[in-house]
Amino acid sequence: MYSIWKESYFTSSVFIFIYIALNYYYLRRARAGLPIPTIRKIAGLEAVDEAVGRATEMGRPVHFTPGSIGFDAEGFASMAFLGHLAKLCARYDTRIIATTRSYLIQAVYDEIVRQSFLEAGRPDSFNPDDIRYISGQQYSAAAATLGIMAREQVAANFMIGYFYAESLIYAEAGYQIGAIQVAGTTNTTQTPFFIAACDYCLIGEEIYAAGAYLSKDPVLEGTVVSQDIVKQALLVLIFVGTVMASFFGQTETLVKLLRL
Amino acid sequence: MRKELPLIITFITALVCFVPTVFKVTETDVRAIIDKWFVVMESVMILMGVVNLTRVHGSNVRRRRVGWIASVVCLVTLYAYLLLGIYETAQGETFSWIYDNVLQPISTTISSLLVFYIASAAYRSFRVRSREAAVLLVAGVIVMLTTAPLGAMIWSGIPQIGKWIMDIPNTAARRAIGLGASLGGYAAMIRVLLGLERGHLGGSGA
Repeated sequence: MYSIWKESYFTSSVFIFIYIALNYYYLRRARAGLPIPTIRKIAGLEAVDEAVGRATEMGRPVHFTPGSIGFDAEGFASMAFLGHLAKLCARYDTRIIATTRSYLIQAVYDEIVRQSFLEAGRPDSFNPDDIRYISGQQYSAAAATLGIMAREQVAANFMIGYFYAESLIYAEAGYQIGAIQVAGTTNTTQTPFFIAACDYCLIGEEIYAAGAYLSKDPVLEGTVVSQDIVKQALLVLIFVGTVMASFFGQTETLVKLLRL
Repeated sequence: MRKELPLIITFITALVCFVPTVFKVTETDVRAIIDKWFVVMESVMILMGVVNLTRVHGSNVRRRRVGWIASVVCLVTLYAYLLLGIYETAQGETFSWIYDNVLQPISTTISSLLVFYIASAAYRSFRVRSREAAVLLVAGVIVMLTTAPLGAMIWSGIPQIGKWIMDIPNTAARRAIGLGASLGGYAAMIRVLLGLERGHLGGSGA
């Protein structure tokens, strides 16, 4: 039956198709104005408006960095977050500085922020020099970013993406200048540093939901609901696997099924 | 069309990568070919980084902004090292010497700042202001004593408790976050593929 699938891709494909079907179902419901399950509140994302508002009141800039990303899932998550952040900054006419280690991402960031200021009717407030490629080198970028944050006295610091050891350098630099800080990474080694040093921390998959959550668009929120349903299905699978392995000595059956 | 074209390109490229990876449709490794294209495009795009650095630091120098001397140093280093690399290639003796003896020590110096930052962040986290902070403090102290010889000297059970904390609750939590993150990443990429998430297009596309 599944001979058209390459070896060990059948089950994962089924999950993908279920996810796409769920997305389509909630998309239809959202577009038809029917109720969809709500997403739980994420404190770190609720704080974005407050942080930008604070920067506006203080007349100081907002800083955004995605850490060590490329055109990957974290990269797209950072772009979705920056898209919302730039729109907020454009609405309040607040300066936004985005620094990145990737010259590929820098070009996309430039376009995202430029477009946000254009649509807000403030093209003159956009400064292309504020969207900066720093360096591909990890610690050179960390040192430069630290310097920019200190010199510009940023009032809010957002770190959403993928971070290695530089996470704490950014977070402590932000703390020392009194910036309100929102951070998020999928790197579990660096998450504790963000929790320790930042005001708000997005953990794991929360950074991927940020774009949908902040947009308040029911269609996009529906896609996060679909994701949660698939996650619950996986939790059931983990529970079944644990019971099978613990009480029935069946360690291979489920693994074989998932490797189909 | 400004929004639609990138969405169409994203969808087709993703489909071209996805279908041959999952289904038995072709013997050609399409993904490897696209990866090669990406490397070529990336090599060209590095110029964008050079242009951005030149524009930002050139502007600092022209307007004599605070720290403009540092911008001069940055631009001179950038272009001098670039020319040296073109003249000598990346395997050249001087080129490698500068990399190993200038850049690496500077990077290590910046990295060493982490010691002080970790101490400062740990001090703030370990202040017992809530039950969660108290749990963090106790677990942190036990794990620290586990890795230091002092722990075993105080009580032989401390290393066992520390190992248990790292092996069981810590690993369980990390795997749970990792599982959620992998699924979230997967879901996010499908949203991008289907054109549902458009944050990367900026403005009202977001």
